[in-house]
Amino acid sequence: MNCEVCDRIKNKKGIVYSTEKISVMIPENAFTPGHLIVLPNEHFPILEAVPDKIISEMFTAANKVGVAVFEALGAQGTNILIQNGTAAGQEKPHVILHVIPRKENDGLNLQWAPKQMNEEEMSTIELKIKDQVGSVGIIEEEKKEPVEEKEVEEVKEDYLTKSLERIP
Amino acid sequence: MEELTPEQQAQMRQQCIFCQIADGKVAAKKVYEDDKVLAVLDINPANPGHILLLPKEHIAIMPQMDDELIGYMGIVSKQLSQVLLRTLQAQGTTIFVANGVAAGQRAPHFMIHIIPRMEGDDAGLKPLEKKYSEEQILQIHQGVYEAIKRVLGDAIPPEKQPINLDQKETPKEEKPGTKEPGKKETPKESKKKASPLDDVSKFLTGQ
Ligand SMILES: [Zn+2]
Ligand SMILES: [Zn+2]
Repeated sequence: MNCEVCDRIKNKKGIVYSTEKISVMIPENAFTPGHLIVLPNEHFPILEAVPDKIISEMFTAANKVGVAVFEALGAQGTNILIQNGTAAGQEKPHVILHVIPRKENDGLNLQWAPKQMNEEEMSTIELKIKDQVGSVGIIEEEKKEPVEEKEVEEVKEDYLTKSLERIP
Repeated sequence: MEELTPEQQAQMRQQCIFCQIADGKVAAKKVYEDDKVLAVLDINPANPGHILLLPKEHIAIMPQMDDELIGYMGIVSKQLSQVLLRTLQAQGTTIFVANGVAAGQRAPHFMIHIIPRMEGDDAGLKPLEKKYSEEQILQIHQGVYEAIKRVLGDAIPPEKQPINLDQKETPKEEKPGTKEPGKKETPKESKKKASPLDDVSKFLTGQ
């Protein structure tokens, strides 16, 4: 597999912390000073392919990285950002969670212009989503046999990547 | 963190629009709910289907969350992202958190934004181009390393010590006498002790 993020993890380039499952790393292009990224050590192209256990560990680590940058840099805030899919600005085919330290007037603008939606449009979307949340909140059992795990993950990944623009 | 009295907690909940939504006292388009979290549609969406995922408990900023809850909210974010891809044919999702006014936080209740994205939409979130040299970044990060190790250190089993990259990233500094004159010294570790999180939270949310 040709993934430069996997290569960086393998070569331990820019890693400030790691466990068996995740790494905290200095990004190649920092948005602000102290910007760090949290990522799974294993190659997952999109968020939906990452097992629950690893997602949980990524968010826990991101929270602690946030505390560390408050402390070490006197940051006035942090942004957590995952760009999931090229339509969302994902540049590398490896899931990355950004922890971005913020200060007033640091020149970074991550805001969006709100869209106007009427009651009917909102209700239509509400119902569509509600109809599909049956499996939300159910945490995956940790799979014990690594061979089986691989097969299951691949099937899931294929199905999901179809709905996303292919990442080069 | 200082424990609030039940009266103070009740007052806090009354003043917080998202607690009011969680308590069913203010109407909202709820799309998912369980005993710990609530997901509602943002009334000022970046795109149609923009979801706000919140803890039911009043928690102002992310550092006040315990590991289990933030981990769980990460999992639910992923699951809701998947729902958006499936139901709205979104081509991607942006998962976004603003901690603190400087980061764009507008309400004093922690939330994760899950925004469906389409190729070429104007939902923004485009970061600035690189403004800092790699050298600058590495220098700044020297100070962050120590804090990271201190804050994350507990989580690592003894056989999996954090990788110390200081030497790998700055080989120049290993050899004495090779330092270029005028080059900035590695920033010293911040002398400030970790402030209690409730103070941080007050500061960040202006409450
Ligand atoms: Zn990879
Ligand atoms: Zn609240």
